[in-house]
Amino acid sequence: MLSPSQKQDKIVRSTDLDALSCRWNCVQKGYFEDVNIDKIINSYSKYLQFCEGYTNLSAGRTYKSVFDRKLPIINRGTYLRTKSISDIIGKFINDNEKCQIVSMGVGSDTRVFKLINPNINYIELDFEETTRIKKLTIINDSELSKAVNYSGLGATVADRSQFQTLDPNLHTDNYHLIGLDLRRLSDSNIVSEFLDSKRPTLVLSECVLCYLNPGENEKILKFWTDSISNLSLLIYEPISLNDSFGQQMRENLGRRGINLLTFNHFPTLKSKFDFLKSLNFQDINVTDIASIGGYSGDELSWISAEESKRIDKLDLIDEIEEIKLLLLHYCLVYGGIGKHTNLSKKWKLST
Amino acid sequence: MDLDTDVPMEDVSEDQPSYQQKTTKTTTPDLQKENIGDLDQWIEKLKNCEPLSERDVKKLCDMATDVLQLEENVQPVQVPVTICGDVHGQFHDLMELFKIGGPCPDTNYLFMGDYVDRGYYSVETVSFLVCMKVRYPKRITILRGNHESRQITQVYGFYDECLRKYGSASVWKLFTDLFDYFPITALVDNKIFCLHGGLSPMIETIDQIRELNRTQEVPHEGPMCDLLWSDPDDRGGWGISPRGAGFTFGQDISEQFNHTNDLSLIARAHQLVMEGYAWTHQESVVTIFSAPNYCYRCGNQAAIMEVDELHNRQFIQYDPSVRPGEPTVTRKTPDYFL
Repeated sequence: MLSPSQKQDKIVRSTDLDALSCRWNCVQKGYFEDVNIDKIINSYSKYLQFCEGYTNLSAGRTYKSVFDRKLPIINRGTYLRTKSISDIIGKFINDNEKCQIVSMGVGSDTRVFKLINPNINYIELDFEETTRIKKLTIINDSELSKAVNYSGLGATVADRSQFQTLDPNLHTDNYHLIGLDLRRLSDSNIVSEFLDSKRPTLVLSECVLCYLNPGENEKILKFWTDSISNLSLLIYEPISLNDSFGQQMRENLGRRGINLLTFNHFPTLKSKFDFLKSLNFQDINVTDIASIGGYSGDELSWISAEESKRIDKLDLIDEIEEIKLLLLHYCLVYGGIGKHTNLSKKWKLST
Repeated sequence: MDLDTDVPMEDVSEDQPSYQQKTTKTTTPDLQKENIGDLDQWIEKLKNCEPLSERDVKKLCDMATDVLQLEENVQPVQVPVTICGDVHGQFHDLMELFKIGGPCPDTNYLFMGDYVDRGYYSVETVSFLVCMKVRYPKRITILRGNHESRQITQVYGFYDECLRKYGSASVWKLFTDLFDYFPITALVDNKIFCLHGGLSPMIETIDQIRELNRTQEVPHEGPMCDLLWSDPDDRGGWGISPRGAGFTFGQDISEQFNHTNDLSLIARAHQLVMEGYAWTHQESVVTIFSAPNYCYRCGNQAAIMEVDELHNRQFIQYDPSVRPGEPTVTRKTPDYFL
């Protein structure tokens, strides 16, 4: 039996499968390419059953749900989220000859395999269960091993005990996959040891901090502002806007056991902005995904006319009011301290 | 819910609408006694949210075709009537609607389309409304929405739901074939023009709608498509619709249309509005949306519009039905970005 807190953590981990399913659907539809996504999915099919809180049966059922067809609005929202975040990471890498990327709660994200090069120190953090699956994906695949510059052996994991005793970390010269509960980020040297505090660093939280309470949010972000002198921070997560849609989201996700712990604490773009300000961020920019997608007028859109034309052909979005309402409830927050990459993007609110 | 299904058919058929602008005389075929028995039985079953058998759906759709094919492109409707917007498979909320608006056939209803897709009970919802239509043809009018289409239902859920509930696409085929016969607009007492979407740059007069051949799949463009897809907009004139079908039309267009056709109001559905209804174009157009908490996610209210004998209008707003025992817990959580 899982304790209530273990159960809570399992539910939070399971949100990665939702994100994976969304990305898989987008790839099928042609919104974007991801040549490595099938490798990760394949790993889940093998190893999810050995994770805490899963049985062979429940893992099989969960795995199958990855392939559930998503509605056009979900595909469009996933595309906008993925593209806007990738755009920012791309610009950050371009602007800094040597840099560092830290992805908190990285889950099944495959960006690293495409982005990493010897000038980037890439650190990925997540629960041990999740990093084990990712590690097994990498070390048992020659292309992924090569991408992260891993030259060690692969590993066979045939049962739960082998899985649970597998070292959750993977380190190469410039890639660090670390199994860590973010709530213990500042308690140990497990991350600091591999961190280059001098390099311009982009810290990512893609639907991660939202599952932690305001105090934990502050503690984690203070860890980064204390550790890194030239810091850029990118957060993507839901916001409640204090309206009935937000209330319904809270109830619906609550029914699945997912608690959005900062949802009402930071309900608006302005409150996110103020939160970063209170942490001494100097350059702060916030917008919502509806604006990025052009649903709040062309002047705030991040999508070119040509790209809009391309994606409009992929799915039939029949209800504009609904998609706008949904996407208004997801924010993108980009803040900086010290030398910080200016994105020259359109924001709803900026310092 | 207590629907009065004991009203004898003779009472119902007394109420023939006045066909003032008719070009061809049509009469609704009389229901056979055994058909009434079947229908009453099906309605009772559906009220418990139990889908009909495939065989019964076939019988129902045959009967409904006979009724609907005789209706007009601009179906005349008398006052008093209660006008409703999108339902989208939210069966329990439809039952709530009848509770709030009064049972049919005691209350006359006009539904402006979008019965299927998105909600979990499209099959039960459309089966119920079609049963009611055949049972009380003069008491309820069901227009076609843009989701009553073969193409859209394959993307937005009705097709998958039919496969899941019947094991094959045959019920989907029966219903989507039937949708081709649904009237596309209605005219309430010659004053309130009702339709799912909005106006078309190719339509200036209501008579032009009467000329259309509606018994086909909703086309990708042209007047019939526009009537089911267009939206009113703050900008004047005609605009390109962000939906990729139909147009946006401004207040100037609405006012001209109402003036030309001697109308007091255009009532339409098609757009989610958080209060359940919304006036636009200085009260020349009203949007009515009757799916509360749309897709179990949007947190919106729903509304219906009652129009009485004197053309007084009253909106009734309502929230999602809360039914003890309804399996909200086992219901799949709607998707979010996690």
